[in-house]
Amino acid sequence: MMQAMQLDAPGKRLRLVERPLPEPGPGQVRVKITACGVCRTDLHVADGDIHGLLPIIPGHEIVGRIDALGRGVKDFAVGDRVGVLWLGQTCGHCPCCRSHRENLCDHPEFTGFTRDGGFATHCLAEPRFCFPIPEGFDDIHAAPLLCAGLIGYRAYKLAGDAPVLGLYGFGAAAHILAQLAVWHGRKVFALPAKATQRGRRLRGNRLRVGRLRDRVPA
Amino acid sequence: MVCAGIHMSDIPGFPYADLWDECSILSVANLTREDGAEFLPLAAQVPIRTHVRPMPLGAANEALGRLRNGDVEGALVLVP
Repeated sequence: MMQAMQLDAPGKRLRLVERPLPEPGPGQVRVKITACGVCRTDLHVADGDIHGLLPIIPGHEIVGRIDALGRGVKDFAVGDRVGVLWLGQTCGHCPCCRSHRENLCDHPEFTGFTRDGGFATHCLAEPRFCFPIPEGFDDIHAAPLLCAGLIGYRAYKLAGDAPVLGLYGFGAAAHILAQLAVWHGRKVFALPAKATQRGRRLRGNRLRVGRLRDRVPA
Repeated sequence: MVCAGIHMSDIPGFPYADLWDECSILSVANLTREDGAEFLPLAAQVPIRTHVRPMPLGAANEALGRLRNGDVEGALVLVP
């Protein structure tokens, strides 16, 4: 059996449920979960700000080890440590998938939103969307990299080569991005929503902390 | 201006002059596997230090509540 925290309807508390262990279908893997980050998107799912499948097991910053393989899986073995992400599956043949924009796939599946996610002891995943976790990160510290880090990284790339960055709202993504930006030699202004969330100074004067209403100096 | 959230409150009006000079506002939708293949090794190289607070799986409601109240520094992580 597996255990999970399940959302039955928006606005309701998640409920601890027991279910039979899911068997991986052809080409799928089953992951025994060791850590799952809690993301603001999970909150939007639970509050009904966005609408996916119900009931659903939220969670999409999953770290675990593969404990069962479906038929035909060749790229992974039982015991491999993997990360499972928000983007859980894509169709592979729509115009977006064929033009390096699979993030905008016409028929995507999202982990913890339209397919069961990581607030659980186990989940199913597609090997194409499983990532090896680099050594040097333990499971718990790796979990926030998988959405806060990755979505943050995508935002960082889209910000181009600006030498000065303002991070508005200093949450999980910003606390990762600030480190990356400082490492790249950029100046970072962190503008937290609440004084209690102030980030720490990183590497001398490259990170400054202000208030959300402040303007980032040029 | 890059907005990296799946849901946000409405954007208030602002002077057009702030958008002039080819400034832009855009959102980030989801991610690609390419992003993952780039970022995870980079995170190890930096190395990124994530600030985490582990909580038991059964405390998922409490974790969501803390996020709702902005009472989180770094990231909450559920451990089954």
